[in-house]
Amino acid sequence: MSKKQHSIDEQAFARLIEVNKQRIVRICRIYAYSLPDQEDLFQDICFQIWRAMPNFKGHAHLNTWLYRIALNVGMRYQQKNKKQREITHNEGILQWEHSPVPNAATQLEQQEQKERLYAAIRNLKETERAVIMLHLEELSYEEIAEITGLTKTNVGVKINRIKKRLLQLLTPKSTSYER
Amino acid sequence: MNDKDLQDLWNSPSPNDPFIIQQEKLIQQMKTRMKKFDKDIKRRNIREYTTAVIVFIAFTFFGVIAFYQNNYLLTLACTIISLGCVFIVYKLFTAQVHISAKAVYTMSNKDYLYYELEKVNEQIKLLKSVFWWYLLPILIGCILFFVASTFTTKALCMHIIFALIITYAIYYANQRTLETDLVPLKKDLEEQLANLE
Repeated sequence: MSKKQHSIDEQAFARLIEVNKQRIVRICRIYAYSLPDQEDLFQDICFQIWRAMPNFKGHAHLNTWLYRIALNVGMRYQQKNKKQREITHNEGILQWEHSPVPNAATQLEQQEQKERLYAAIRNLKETERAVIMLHLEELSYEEIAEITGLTKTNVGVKINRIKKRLLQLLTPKSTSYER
Repeated sequence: MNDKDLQDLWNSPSPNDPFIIQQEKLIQQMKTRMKKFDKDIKRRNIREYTTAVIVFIAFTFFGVIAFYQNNYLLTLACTIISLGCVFIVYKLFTAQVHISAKAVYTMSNKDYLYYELEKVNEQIKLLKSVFWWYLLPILIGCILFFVASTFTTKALCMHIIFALIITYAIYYANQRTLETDLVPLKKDLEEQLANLE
């Protein structure tokens, strides 16, 4: 195992994480609630990517491969958390910075809305979360089917159903939803 | 709010998004974790197999000595314990789900959940039958060992009671793990899979 480790292209790994960090962080926000937990999960995902990298043959699309790892690790993380395992937080590798905001009021409102969206997604069933997250990440039905193992038709049906529920959770007073 | 609004909201940057990943630290941490991961697995395997090998060698040795001293009951006790150890290792080894651990997370969510469910089912099967494949052979071996050794009746009773208490404690702990951890986990995984059907 340690011999294979030498064949990891560290630069490629660093680039992959850098390019996809926001995607990974969004997934972390759904499966872990506090910042230290999110950072732990982020590191777990990075670690599994690191382990799986030497075996990546390019048969799957890089995005599909990455989302599969991130979601599977996220689901496992949540299962472990259900058992209320004591988590020891690793040393931080992320710098969580607060960016200067040009229009603070708008930003704050958008952030609040985003937090509501996260909360609404967290209220969904675990597998529904994965499907809707991938849809929000703007992946095609085909890609979502490949990642989750559902059929393409099933993905479409599920997304429509989940979106309705999500919107109800997000805006309880809303009565209509435009596609 | 429509589909695009939701996607835009989801993909919009948050003020507390991480802007900097300390790359050197990240790579260093991956290397350290990988080393620790390898070491932990090696250590666990060595611990499990070494214990079995030591017990096997020790009781085979006692058994051979007992055989040459014509103490056949003790020989039988040692043989049962030695074979019990081999059987436990065999049982644990065959119960492992043989999929490369590296490939697990690259499966589709559905396959991953099936893999996890298979693992949990295997564990449940093992724990449900723990008395028959783990505790009983060793308990029988131990009782015969105590009977064959030169104990007084009182000491023999004490030893047998002690062995029974230990056996029950191990059995109870295993059944508790089954009820509190594995059965709910199985139910959870089955629910998740049902949602993916």
